[in-house]
Order: sequence, then structure tokens, then C-alpha cells
Amino acid sequence: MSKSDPIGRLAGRLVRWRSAAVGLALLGGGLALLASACLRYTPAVEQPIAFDHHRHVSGKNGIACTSCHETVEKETFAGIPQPDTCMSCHRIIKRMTAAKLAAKPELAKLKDFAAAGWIPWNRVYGQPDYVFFSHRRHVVIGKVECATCHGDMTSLTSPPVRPAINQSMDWCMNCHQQRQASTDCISCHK
Amino acid sequence: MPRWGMVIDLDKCTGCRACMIACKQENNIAPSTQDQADRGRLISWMNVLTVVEGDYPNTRVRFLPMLCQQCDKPPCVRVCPVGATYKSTQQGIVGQIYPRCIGCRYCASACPYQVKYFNWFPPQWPDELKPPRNPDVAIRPKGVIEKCTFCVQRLQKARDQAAIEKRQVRSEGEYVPACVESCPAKAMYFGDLEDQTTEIAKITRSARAFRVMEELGTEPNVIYLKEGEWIAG
Amino acid sequence: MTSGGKNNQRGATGASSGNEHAVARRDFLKMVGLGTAALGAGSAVGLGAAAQALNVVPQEDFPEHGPESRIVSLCGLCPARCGTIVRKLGSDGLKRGEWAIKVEGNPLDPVNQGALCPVGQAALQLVYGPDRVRSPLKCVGERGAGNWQEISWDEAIATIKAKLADLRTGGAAHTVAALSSGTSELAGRLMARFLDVYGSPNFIFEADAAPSDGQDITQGINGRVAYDFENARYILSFGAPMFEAMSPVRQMRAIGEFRGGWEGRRGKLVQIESRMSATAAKADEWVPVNPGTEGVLALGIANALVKYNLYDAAFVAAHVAGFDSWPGNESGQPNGFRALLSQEYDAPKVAEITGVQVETITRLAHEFAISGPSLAVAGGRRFTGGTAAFYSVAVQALNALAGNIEKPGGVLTCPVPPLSWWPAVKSSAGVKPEAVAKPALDSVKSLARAVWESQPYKINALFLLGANPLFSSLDFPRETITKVPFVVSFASQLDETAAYADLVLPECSSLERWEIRTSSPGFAVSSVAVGSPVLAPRYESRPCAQVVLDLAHAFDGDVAGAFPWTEPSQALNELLTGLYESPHGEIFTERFQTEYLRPEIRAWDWPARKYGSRDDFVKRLLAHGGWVDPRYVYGDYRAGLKAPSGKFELPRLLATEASSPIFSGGDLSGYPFELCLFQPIALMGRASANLPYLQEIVGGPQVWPWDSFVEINPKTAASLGIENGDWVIVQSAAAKLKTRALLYAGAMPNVVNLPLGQGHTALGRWAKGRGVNPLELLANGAAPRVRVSKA
Repeated sequence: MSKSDPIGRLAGRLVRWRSAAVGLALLGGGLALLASACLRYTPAVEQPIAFDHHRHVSGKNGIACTSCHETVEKETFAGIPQPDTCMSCHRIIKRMTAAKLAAKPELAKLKDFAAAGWIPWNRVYGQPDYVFFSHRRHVVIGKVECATCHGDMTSLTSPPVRPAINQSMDWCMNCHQQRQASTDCISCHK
Repeated sequence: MPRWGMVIDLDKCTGCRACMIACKQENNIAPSTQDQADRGRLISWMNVLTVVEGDYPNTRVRFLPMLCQQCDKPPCVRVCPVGATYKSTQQGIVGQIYPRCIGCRYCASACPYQVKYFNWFPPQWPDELKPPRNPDVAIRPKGVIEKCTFCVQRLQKARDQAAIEKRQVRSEGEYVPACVESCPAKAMYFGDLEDQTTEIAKITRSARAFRVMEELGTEPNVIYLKEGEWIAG
Repeated sequence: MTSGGKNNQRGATGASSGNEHAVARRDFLKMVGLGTAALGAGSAVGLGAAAQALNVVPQEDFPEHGPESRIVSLCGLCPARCGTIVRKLGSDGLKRGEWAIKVEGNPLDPVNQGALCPVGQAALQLVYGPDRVRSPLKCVGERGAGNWQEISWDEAIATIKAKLADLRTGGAAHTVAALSSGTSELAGRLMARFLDVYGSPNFIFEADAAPSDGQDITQGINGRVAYDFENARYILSFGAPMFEAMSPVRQMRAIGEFRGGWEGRRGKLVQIESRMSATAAKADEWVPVNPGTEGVLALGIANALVKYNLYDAAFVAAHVAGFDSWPGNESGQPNGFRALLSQEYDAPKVAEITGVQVETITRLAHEFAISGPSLAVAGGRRFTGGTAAFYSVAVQALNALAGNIEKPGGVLTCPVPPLSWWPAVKSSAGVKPEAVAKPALDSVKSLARAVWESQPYKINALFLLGANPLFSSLDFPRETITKVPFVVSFASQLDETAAYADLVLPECSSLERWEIRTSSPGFAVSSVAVGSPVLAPRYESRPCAQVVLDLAHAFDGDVAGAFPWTEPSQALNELLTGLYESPHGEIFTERFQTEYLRPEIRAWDWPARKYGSRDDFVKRLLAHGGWVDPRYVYGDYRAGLKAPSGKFELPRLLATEASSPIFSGGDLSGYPFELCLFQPIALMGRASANLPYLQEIVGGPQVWPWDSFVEINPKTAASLGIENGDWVIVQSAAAKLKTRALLYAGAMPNVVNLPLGQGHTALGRWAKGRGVNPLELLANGAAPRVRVSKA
């Protein structure tokens, strides 16, 4: 360990670097886990059609949420519109010329999907498989507004890429306690 | 508040084990392998035990369907360090919350009925057998305990339906676990033990009724009916 | 590194002093910078992965789905064919598929009343089984070598048609046979019709698919004998697997009712069997009997009934033939049933043969006589001892002596529902007249004889409808199948017999096809159950019923003309007119309960319910699962006694057929144990061994999952030095098998018991190579005697 041992000193430095790097990696990993746990980080979700909620929901068009998310009052799942639903208003795109469609690329996409018969929407909001959640109970009995859990969709001009609200258990429990809905674990855990 | 309970008539039980298969299919219990079975790791929330007594020709063979007794004083709940299992005072069912379980297996040791099952292996299905799994029941990973829940997913659905119809879940018949539904010998009954007007409440008052290991003070909500006897003439 | 490195490491952990080894601040900041950069770069992956890891299971495992529905169907895993309701998840329009996720019993179906046995509960593992045959397969090269080519349905049907057309023009239409396991009635009926018009009389049921239990000989009724368990007070079962087979769901419930007691009187179940089966375990009394001697015991009890005048003499005098004498009897032979009993079946002799004490025989006879209504029950597959006919008839004789034919709690006749049967087909122009008159083959045994000896004629083509005789029959060794020039198997999984076929056609499960049930084994209630398809056929499978129609239409003229339908549902629909127009009966409603099987209720003149149009009627019928007419006319001997004499026949075969296990030839001294084979309920269906859930419950009453075993009496095992779980060799004159010993106090000391259903060499990944097939011990007519030793 004398000053004149260059190999030894290099080795020493490398070893220090290595152990420090290991320590840092562990720290970084731990922070990552913690962060993701807190932030419920989810990767960005892309949709096949850049659906503009604002245009459809606000103002003179003013379609209600339930017009397209048809099963929200009848089933546990809300449902997401398929070509039949869209085409009930957008019938005219079947007759639009290619030139006109070129100016409206999302409608062109819709036309293709309508021919195929289905739109491959990607899920944004979801709970783990051990959670039972019933839309109809919350909407019909609980009279919870869509925006309470899904955020204000009326202002969105393109589909959300991640949930607007972190739907953690804490967040659910908060509301359940306030509104005196069941907080029994087995009401929701399956 | 309902207290869900079950009665099993051991006189009628034939040991066919339909209840076991119905439970496995309903609750996404993965098919086992011979190796797992040999090691005693086969998971069966409902397990029909065969008891053989005596010597030939005075042999006596009896069947005892054993499942979580949904005790009122559950030993497993007392020992769980993280609250992954608890007694629901609203439904009378002992719940099992998978994300909370840390796999210490203290509850499995504590349960005198030995009905808490640990996932020693990650559950595995061939790809083709994955789609027919029940989406109403979570798939448990390796490292957590699971047990009979009286098909709580069916209760959740029944409560959902009842709430929409602005009523309570009916005390009998509306919500029935898979095992009770399937029993060919009609040896199983299920309902709200708090409601004294149900058929099941009447049966619990039978002279043949008993609970397994009652002396331990667990106060189980699964009641068995002793076998009967033929009397000549 | 050298020891210098070690020292350095120790140094790097701060044990030494000196700044040159400490981490400089600059270095530290560099490391943080690098680490954070790495963190950022990896974050997209790392955080996402971390988030996933916190979830219990990735969400992709559950496919998205739409609304659910419940579809009424029929279970097809055993001949009982209970009604089912299947919970189905609909496609959500995203075309991610529809899935069946649970099968339950149909509460409205009178046979099972909402219950389902373990085999039915495991059905989805067959529907979604990874080992399903996915497309029509053609054998390439030598049959049985396992080289298959996937072909189209068109090619398959054309191949079959060409072969059959050849045979027909050559005057050999009668040399075609079909063997059915009885699980698809619609396919079976259409195939039988096809053979009819084509010119063959050979539609054969495997024995356990249509047990007549001797009723064909005694009462001239061919088909399914019916027992009124619910109303009996005393059941004397001669080894019948009441809780394991026949129609297990209905029987379990019926015995539960019988036990529970009607009018406060609990019934007694006595199980006479060579091992303590689940039925024997639950019975009020188990009577151990030497294997194969149940028929002898039945006649011993009959002897006691006659000797002590405990039989219904009035009934016998009026309705039984053969009691006092047999026509054409030779001198020196006992003349008549009564004489036979007193000469050959006195109690001490029977006691010696059967191992049942004289006192027990006498007591059982008394109990049987006074505890009425009493029922003697035959059943189960027989591999040892006497002929099946002797056994069945001997047991039925007891019912005749008790006068319990066509009475509540007795032997009844399965009613035929008033369906509008398809118009009869006539023998056709394409078939030479002399061929039409050829004798029909009516059993696996006669089929095997025809194949092997060409008696009464050679077999040129064989269709297998879910049947696997190579595995499950003693009469059909592998060499037999190789002698049939053309074999077509309709199979969901490639079983042992299908492995030797020329063509394997993927059959649909019962959830993927239309199905009908016009009678259920042992159940004397007029009912018709209809199952709708729940799912589209998976892979390239096609219902056998559809294939028969396609094949018929490949012919022209009379063959095609007999099938004026393009789809099986049309053929099925036609049948329902008779139900719609019937003055009695109704669609399954909540009202059918076991109470409706009580005689006074069945005697009511149940009027028919009114329905709207025929279409309405059919729609309702499909939604509820079927139609039922609970009436039964007791005491109708014209309907129940259909032998030529118009009476219950006690035939001379009781004197002439082999009655007990007497095997000629061979020295049995080296084989001290008798062999008893039994069918665990888990392995009851043809497909069961390849369903993992069922492998988990193999056994009965003691379970030994995923394996075979041999039950040995504990004292016997001790004398052989065998402990529980030891590997043992079980050896007969024909074969040597290695399996695990299971010590069981319900095994008789001189008998060892092996379960049937394991030991497959095909069928699929879970069945193949698992356990042993005990039928090998009885190959080539070997006696059911074995020796057992530690391996």
C-alpha cells in the first residue's frame, strides 16, 4: 500500500467505483420502486384513433357519456364504442371521397375500422385483477359523476395517454369513507 | 348483517368430489402435476377427506368435505402479522386479501382445519387453458396464501344486482358457492345463518348437527350432519 | 487478484486511513451524475417494469370480454348426458373471442336437477384441451406409426365416400360397422340412419353405453333398464356402481332421497361387492363377496325367498314364465327356475362359492321380502366371473320374485317420448337384396369376432364414434383393429384406437354442437333435453352429426334423399313437432322436483301446457333445456313385459350359462389373489384421463392423484412385507404390471383391486404413460388371478 504502487492504486479506485456504483444502483432502484409506487407510473397509451372528446361532448354536439360508453349503467364495465356506435352519426364518411378523407385523417381511420368491424382501443383505466369494480353500482346507486374518477374529459382534444387520476386504493377508500359506502375488504377484493 | 354459512349432510355425501372440481374451475386453481401432488402441494380449497377406520370386514369409510370453516373466532386472523386475512363482520366470511399477504405461512400453521393453502409454485396453465379462467377471481402468484372464500365473487355480483334492484341479497338461493351448486347428492346447503326462516337455519337445529373440533373454540360456520342409521322394519 | 487485491478491498471499505483511498467529492458527484443518467435512460423500462412487478399479475392474462350469457347445453362426457348451463363471456366486439368459463347443471333438467358430477365440471379442460385434434388427419404410411397429414374436410369426406361407394356397389354394404360410446345421441341417430339406408345393420353401442342389465332377456326390452330408486325402501345392489357410474348424478340424488326417507321411513342400501367401493362405504351394509360370484349369490337369495315362501306367488303365477318348468328341457337337467334353485343354489353351497355366510343369505332374503318396495340392482362392467347375461338375469329374477316389476320402487321401463321421428328409410335400390338380410352385429364381442374370424362376415370399414375399444375392451386387442381395412375415428383427442385409424376426424365437444337426449340411463321419466351450441367449433373440428350429413349428401339418390337437411339442427327441429302436439307434458319449468317422482303424483293425468306457435314452443324449449312428461302408468304389463311369452322370463340360460369364475386350464396355484377391477368416477368418461383436474381426484374412496395403485388388505400386505406406497409387481398369466400399493381395510384379504382408466399409451400429455391398464392382466383369456410381490 505504498504510494509507489500504481496497479494497486488503480485497482483500489476501481473497487471503490464498483462498490459505490453498486450502492448507487441499489439506491436508484429503490427510488424507482418507491417512485412508481407513489406515482403509479404507467407507460403512455396510444389509441388507434385520435378521438377528440371536447368536440363530441361539449357545446352544440353535447353527447352524453352514456351514449357511447353504453354499458356503464347496466354492467360492471363501461364499454367503449365500436364502429356501429360511431357510424350512427358518422354514416356520411362511407360516401366521402378520398380527397375529403385525406383532409380528415381520423375519419379516414374510422372508415377503415368500420370496414374491419372493430376498433382496437387500448385500455387506459384499469384495476388489478384482484379488484372488483362495478360501474353500474357507482353510477346508478352511488351517483358518482364520470369526472370524479376519470377527470374532466370534456376539455381533452386527444385521447388521454395515461389516467388523469391515480386510482389508488387510498383514493377509493377516501371517497368510500366520506360517503359511507362499504369499506369491507371483501366488497372489492376478489 | 348476513352471516353466510354452510351445512354439509355427511349421510348424503358420496365422496364423488364434484365439489372439488367445481371449486377449482370457479376459482382459477391451476391444474397440478404429479410432482406437486406427491409433495403434498396440491391446492384444493375444498378437499374431501376419506377416513378409513377399523379392520376388514368391519371397515368403516367416511367422507369429510373440508373447506375453510369461516370461523367466528378464526385462529388464522389472530396470527396474521399484516392483516391479509380478516373476519368480515358485514358478511361473516373470513376474507383473504392477496396483495397484503407476505407469505409467512403463520396462518397455515395456525389453522386447525389445515385449509389455508400456500402457493409454493407460480400457478401454471398451458396457453390453451388460460382463456376459460374466471375473470371474477384473481390469479394468485407464488408466495401468497389462498383459501376458500365461499365464492365471494358470486356474493359481490349478487350484492351488485341486489343494490340495483334496491333490496338485500336473498338469504337463500340467490348466492350459492360453486361447490353447493354442483353437489349431485344435494348434500350441501348454503344461506344466511342469521335468518331463522331459511331452510338452512332449520337444518342447523337438527339433532345430527355438529361442528368439527368445536372444542377448540373457533366457532365455525360450516355445520355438518352426522350420518344416519337404518332401523329394521 | 492477489492478496494485494484483498487488502485493497479491505482498504476500500474504509478500514484504512489516508485520503488516497477515500472517495473524493468530485468522484462522488461524478458517480451521482452517471447514476442519475443511467436512471433516466433506464426509467422508461425500469419504472414500467417496477410498476408491473408491484401488480399481482399482469393484466394481459385476462382477455377483455363483453357481456355474459348463460346457454343451455348437454354434457357429453358420459352416456347419462345431464343438462347443463354454461356461463359464457361474450366477445366485446373487439373480436377477442368468446369464452366458456363454467359449466353448471341445469336446475330444470329432471335427470340432474342442477347438479353435475366431477367429470362434467372438468369439461372445459376438454373443450380447451391443448391435445385436441385440430384438423382432419390422414394416416401416412403404416397405420399406428403416428405419421399424420393434415387434410381438408372436403378431402376427408371424399375419401370416405369413395370407399363406402365401392363397398356398396360390390354388394358389401353390410360389412361396414359403427361403434358408438353413446355420448352423442344426435350423431348416433344420424349415423344409424345412414347405415340403414346405406345397407348396413351394424350400429353398435359399447356395453356401458346402453346397459340393459338383463332386461332385454327377461322383459324383451332393448335399451336402458330403469330403476325407481326414489320410491324404493330397500336396495340390494349386486356390485352396481351406484355412485360412480351408470347415471351417477341422478343416482346420487336418488339415493340421497331414498336415504332421507319418504313418509319418515329411511331406506336401506345393501351393497354386495368384492371391495368396499364408495357405494359400499356409504351403504348401510357392505356384504363382501368373492369376485365374480354376485350372480350366484343372487340365486342363493332367490332360493331362500322361495324356500321360506317369501316371494310374491300371485305375481309369479300370473306374470312369470319359466318358474315351474322350461319348455324342451332335457332329462337330468333341473326343470324350471324353482327346481334349479333347490338343486343347485342351496345356502351352504352358495355360501361356499361366494364366501357369504348362510345366516347372511337368509337374513338378506328376509329383509328383501319384508322391507318393500325392494329393488335388486345389477350394473357395472364385468370382467370376471360367469357371463354378463347370467349375472344380470339372476339379479333381475329377484325383482320378479318380489313382484316388483312396473310397480313404484321397482323395475320400470324407460318411456319413449312422443317425438316426431324421421320418416323410416327403406332398403335401397343400391343394395343387393341378399345383403340386406345379413345378421346384425350387436356387441363389441361380436364385432371383434367378425373382424378376426370373418364370421358371420368380414368387416371392411369401421367408424368409431368416440369409442376407444383398444383401451377399454378385452375383446378388441390391437391386432383386431389392424385387420380392418378402413377405419375412421371421430375423436376429440387422439386415443389408442384412433392412432390406428386411416382417418381421424376432429369431433366437437358437447359445447360446440347441437345435441339431444331422448332418454337417460336408468331414468323412467319421459323427457327430451336439447343442448344448444355454446361456442363455435374450435380449430377445424366439426360435429359428427354434421359430417354424417355431409357424407350422405356426397352420395346421390336414396342415401342423400334420406337426409333432407343441411345441418343437424334442422334434423333435430323436426323431431320436436310431436312434443309440441302432445296432449301431455310441458317444457322444463321450475316445477319439476323429485316429489314428482312419487307414484301418486305420477299417476295424475298431467295436462299439457299451452304454448303459442310452434316457433314459440321451440324457442322456449331451447331456453329452458327440454320437455318432460312426469306421468307413468304403473302396472302396465303390456308395456313392460315384451318378451314373446308376454311374461317375465326366467330363462334356461340360468342353468346352462357359466355362473361362476371357473377357468379351465392353467395352474392357478401360483396366483393366489383374485383380481377385482373398478372404475373410479374420475376416470369414468372416455376423455377423462387427459383432464388434469380429474387426475387430481383419481381413486375411490381413497384418493391417489395422478397415478395407478393396487388396493391390498393391510394384513395381507403385512404378510407380504409390503407397506403403503411401496412399488409392487402384480402378475397374471398374461402380464406383469408395476404399480404402487395402497393399503386399504376395504379390500378383501384374498382380493386385490386395481382402477380402470389409467395406463393410456395415447390420448394426450396428461394421460399418456401414466399408471397401468389392468386389462392387460386379463388379455388372451387369462384368469383374473394374480400374484403380488414387492418390486
